[in-house]
Amino acid sequence: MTEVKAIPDLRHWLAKRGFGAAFLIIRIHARLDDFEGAILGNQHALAVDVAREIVVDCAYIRAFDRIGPLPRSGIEWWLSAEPLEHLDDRSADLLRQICLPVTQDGLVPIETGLRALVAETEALLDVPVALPIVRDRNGYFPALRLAREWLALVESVDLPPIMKKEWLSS
Amino acid sequence: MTSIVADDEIAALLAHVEPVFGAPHAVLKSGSIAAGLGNPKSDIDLLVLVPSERVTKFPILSHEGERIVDAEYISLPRRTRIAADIRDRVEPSHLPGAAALHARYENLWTLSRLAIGSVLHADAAAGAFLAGIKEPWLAEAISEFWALEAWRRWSVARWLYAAKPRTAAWRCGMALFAAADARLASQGQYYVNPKWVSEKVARAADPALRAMLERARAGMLIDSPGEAEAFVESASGLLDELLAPFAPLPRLVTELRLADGVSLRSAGGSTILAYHDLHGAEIRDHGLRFDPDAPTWSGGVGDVPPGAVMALFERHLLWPSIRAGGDAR
Repeated sequence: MTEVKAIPDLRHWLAKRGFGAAFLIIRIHARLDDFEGAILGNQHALAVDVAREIVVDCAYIRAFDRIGPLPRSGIEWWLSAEPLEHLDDRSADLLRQICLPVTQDGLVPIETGLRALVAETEALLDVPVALPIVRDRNGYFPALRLAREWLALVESVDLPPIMKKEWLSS
Repeated sequence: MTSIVADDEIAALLAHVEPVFGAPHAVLKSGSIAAGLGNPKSDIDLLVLVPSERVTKFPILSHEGERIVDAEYISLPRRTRIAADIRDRVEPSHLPGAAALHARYENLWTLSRLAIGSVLHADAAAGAFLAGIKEPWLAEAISEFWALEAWRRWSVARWLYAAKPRTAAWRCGMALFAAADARLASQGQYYVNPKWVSEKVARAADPALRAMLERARAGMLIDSPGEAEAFVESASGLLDELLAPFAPLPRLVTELRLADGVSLRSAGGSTILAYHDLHGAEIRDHGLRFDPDAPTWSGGVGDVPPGAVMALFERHLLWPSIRAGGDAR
């Protein structure tokens, strides 16, 4: 059935979806892979550090409506951003679970919790298609295509690019 | 950190390189695997130095068995200039603004990956360049970058601990992580990728670093203003002790300037600051200076800006930066 959704503030809507989707595709999906790799490689401290970052990265996107959408890539630059001040219960519980001393077996429920949190965060962006996973064999080119489309959209209203333009230039 | 690559592996990896930007000057295998930090999910990172000036950084992903091969094409002439500028200290480590900071980080990251990489193929021009970046100046530049970043994060933690304890505790924890990277770089582990700090520390045989990371992790859970204050204030002594060789505290100046993307409008006695017209703030009767080329506020590390300046910072309109003053390096 055809669906029509009102957009009361186009700039905010474009920025939230564009910055959020780019951050999920480039960083958070890769962090989930890092977490899995750290478990496979018995790199316990790395797994804990990565898990904590995934919760905060998701909180960052989830705080867009409160603090305003901000583009982000690489290490954290917006030191003024405060995603942790109003954590939802699920994120707060997960963070506590991660920061307590945790055994290798204890990382399994944490991974389940992280994947659910990432999926829920993606759902909040309300993108009509599932975001492609850049690192999957069949995800790279769909992700590039989506990024190119969104780059054009945010640029059409003079918002900053959602990712480096040179990555999308071929 | 450089590993030897077998001939059959070299041939397999070179098959992932496309001459899309001209015949490459060099191809290196690098990244976390080359640094000895990787795990079964780590990518195989290839760095392809090409003659074109236009290629700033262009990644192409493919697969080798279960592993992702991330081939990144970068310009040799451009990287040669960037390396010379960093070596000769043409610019300070931390310039104000997100774009400048990001550029410095990316440049150091790329140079560190080139420096630790295993050469699969190189011509004479690339060989000379690669030999030149394996010198101590690169580790020193990386140490200094992380040391300044540690103090920048810590300054923000100090500004925020009363009003936003969780954010302050997180920033303080991240300051300690940056300090660990500064110290590790000075000890020879200068591969720039902050996610690997725990693995680097595990190899470092440096009990002070281990203790610092444990403290950082514990502190990041703090959510009360009193505990956040205690954590932030106690971290300062630790940072000073660990970072003095790279970023001596008495010579550092923190600044707040208009963030990249912030515009100014004035009307009827008020000034409106807006970030890409997405969000902003109105300020009245302020007497503050908003000059893109000068700080709105500056002070020593640990000094707290006045209320109006903090309000603009907390709304992402002013950008915190740090610089070495006087005769500091």
